[in-house]
Amino acid sequence: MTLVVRVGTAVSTTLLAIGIVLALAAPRTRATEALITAGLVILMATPVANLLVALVDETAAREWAFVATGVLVLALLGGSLVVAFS
Amino acid sequence: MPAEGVAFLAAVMGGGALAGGLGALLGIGGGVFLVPFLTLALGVPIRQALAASLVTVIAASTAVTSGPSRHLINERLGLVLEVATVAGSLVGAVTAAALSPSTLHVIFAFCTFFIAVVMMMRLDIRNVILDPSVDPGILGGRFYEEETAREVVYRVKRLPLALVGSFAAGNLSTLLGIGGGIMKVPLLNAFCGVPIRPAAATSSFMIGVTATSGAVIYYGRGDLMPAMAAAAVLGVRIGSLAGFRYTAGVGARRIKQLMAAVLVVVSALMFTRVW
Repeated sequence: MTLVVRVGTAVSTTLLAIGIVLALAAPRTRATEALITAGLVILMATPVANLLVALVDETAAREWAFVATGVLVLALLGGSLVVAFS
Repeated sequence: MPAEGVAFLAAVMGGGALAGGLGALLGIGGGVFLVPFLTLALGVPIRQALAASLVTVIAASTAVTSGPSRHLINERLGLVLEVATVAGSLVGAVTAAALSPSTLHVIFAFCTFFIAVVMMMRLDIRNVILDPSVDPGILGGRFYEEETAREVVYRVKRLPLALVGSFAAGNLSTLLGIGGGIMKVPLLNAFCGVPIRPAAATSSFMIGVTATSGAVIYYGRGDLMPAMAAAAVLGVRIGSLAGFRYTAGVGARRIKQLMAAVLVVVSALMFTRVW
């Protein structure tokens, strides 16, 4: 779990840091904005990735009640996606 | 000040740093401060402020989830409560239609003040069970407590209350641009038997998921301003690192006092936003 969060955090932070330096140093380009947006998307995906790892752990431990709980949370998050882009 | 200029972004970064620092210790995302700071002090339009704040909460959450207190996170409790929180976040849209922002702020102001009072009254009530042979139950936990230099246990009580509180916190999350930790931590600690540090760590874990659903919705609507959000997140990174370093030895009682103080400040902020 920690590894996923650390990787996600590191990649996201790097992209955001580079992006913001570029945004300040040079006139705003589409590429700069894309870089920052990518960093933000990875950040937003990190808790979900974490959740998936937790699900895998619970499945491996055969803790079906918690697997079901995790799936339910994912489904509700999926609902947010639908609301977001509808 | 000009949007997206250096001074503006530096100010946003400062706001993020405060969020990160407080989050490291108290299990909150800092949104309760960041949103008024962005809207009132920096003149950011409300929806953009909410979007940036939710992203900040995610950043604060990931900082703790990979930080030095991650061993205190109660993942299973977090998972169960997240069902309520994310459901509440989804329903938030309905609430937004039914209640005016002023009403929400007043309700929130009273809740936070009430919780602050309860926390202060319960400062010396210990949730830790000193006998390590006690069974923590399905949702409880064990950890090593520095103050008593031993392994301690805790059991979760009043789960239905925790679920209702998590649902309410999720509801408020999308509407107010917060993670809800400001309610979850005191609830878990004052009513549900969770010692303050595992409560804070678990809250940090949960608010990341809560804020994700709101952040995605605002992103989808085009309310997420990239440079501003980036500045806030980078601020969180710096603030949380400083927070971890300088609060390593803070005792449980002190943390609870600080939490109560933050609640009172937030309550006052909420009341002033109404008038």
